[in-house]
Amino acid sequence: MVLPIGALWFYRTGLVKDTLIATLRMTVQLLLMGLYLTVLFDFNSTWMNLLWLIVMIGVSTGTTIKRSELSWRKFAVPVTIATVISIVIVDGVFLGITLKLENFFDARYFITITGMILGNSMKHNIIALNAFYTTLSDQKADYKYCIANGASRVEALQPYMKSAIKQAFNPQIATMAVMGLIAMPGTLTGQILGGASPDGAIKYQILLMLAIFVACMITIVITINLANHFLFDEWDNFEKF
Amino acid sequence: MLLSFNNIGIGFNGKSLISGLSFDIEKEDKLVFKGKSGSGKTSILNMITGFVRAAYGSVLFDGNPLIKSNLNDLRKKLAYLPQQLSFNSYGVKQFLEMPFGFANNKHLTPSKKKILEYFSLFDLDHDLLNSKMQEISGGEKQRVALISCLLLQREILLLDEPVSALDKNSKMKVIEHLFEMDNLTIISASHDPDWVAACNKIVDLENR
Repeated sequence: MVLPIGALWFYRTGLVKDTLIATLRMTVQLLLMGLYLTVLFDFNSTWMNLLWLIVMIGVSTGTTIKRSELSWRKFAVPVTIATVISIVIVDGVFLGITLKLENFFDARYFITITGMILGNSMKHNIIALNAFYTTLSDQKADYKYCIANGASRVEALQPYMKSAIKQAFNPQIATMAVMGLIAMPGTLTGQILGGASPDGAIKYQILLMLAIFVACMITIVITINLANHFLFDEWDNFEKF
Repeated sequence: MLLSFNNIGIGFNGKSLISGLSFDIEKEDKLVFKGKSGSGKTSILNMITGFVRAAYGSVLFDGNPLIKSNLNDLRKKLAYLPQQLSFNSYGVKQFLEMPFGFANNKHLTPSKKKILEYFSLFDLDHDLLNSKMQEISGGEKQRVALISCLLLQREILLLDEPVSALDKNSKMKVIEHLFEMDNLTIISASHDPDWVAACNKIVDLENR
């Protein structure tokens, strides 16, 4: 970590402290995760797993809003609702229909898959929200030009939505395009290191990549559309986000 | 009466910007708001587009209070040119075509010939059509934006400092063309003495 932190310091990015804290947090959190996953797996209780999900959704919503530097009052509800809808749909299809689990809330599947979907949705949502609302604030005159010259609100916001989705998904699309060629995916690596066969691990990897892609798109589209419903008045004006 | 402003007050963050302003705009008027920076010229234009609401007083459009339903009717009748446009990632052609992608304007989509006629009229090189918006000068950008408003063929032009970046020659061409159009209602904000002189109605926000 000395090299990247040195680069962050040299280029005066202001990210050294954040990186150190994030690294420390990651280490402690993963160690704690090892402990609580053991407990969750041992108990394998539906209620306990659902409680874990509620806490994780809260943490994810909080992190998304904080990292996007948006208003808690205006974004807490849209981000939470979008995350819940995305998890219900993707978990439903993945765990319920594809894997046909006897116990939908089986900790070994429910916690791991949901955690992965939640983490990725949060990461993509932060990028998209930042792109959408920062650009819109910076280019308020362009938005007004479109509205006053005949655009509906959806039409006037379309370029910002396009930019947000492109910024959020470009890296993932690039990763998917080279997966198996130059990128060794995390889940695959983890499963193989854990003793699973490459054949089975690859099936999970494909399913997970698709599930993550779908979940991220659902979260972003619902968050922005729902938030905009509250952020704009009936005359298509918006205030500070 | 097209628009009627009665005893309007506008304020931001608890500070009063305009108080007790009244004036009328009739069809085919060429009206200008003049006054120093910060006197509220842009805010009044933004009231007409519905982007700023009065703290008190009333705005009437065709004799009826301006509300959501007739604001949409008003927006369909006007073309609006803000003072600062970005659209930096757009090409000039893409920018000019963009408003005609909106459902309300699709039937007005102009031909390339029509666009180039305006380019000639406003002394713009035809090759500019293939440039990026961020590559052209402020004066060129202002004329391109003005052309985008004219292509919409609206009854009302709402122009915020429309000639501020133009040299004398380009400015006079723009003024000559716009003020020749008798059917057009122009509502503008400007410091420019030539522009102000061309208007038939002046609302001076400093000396009222």
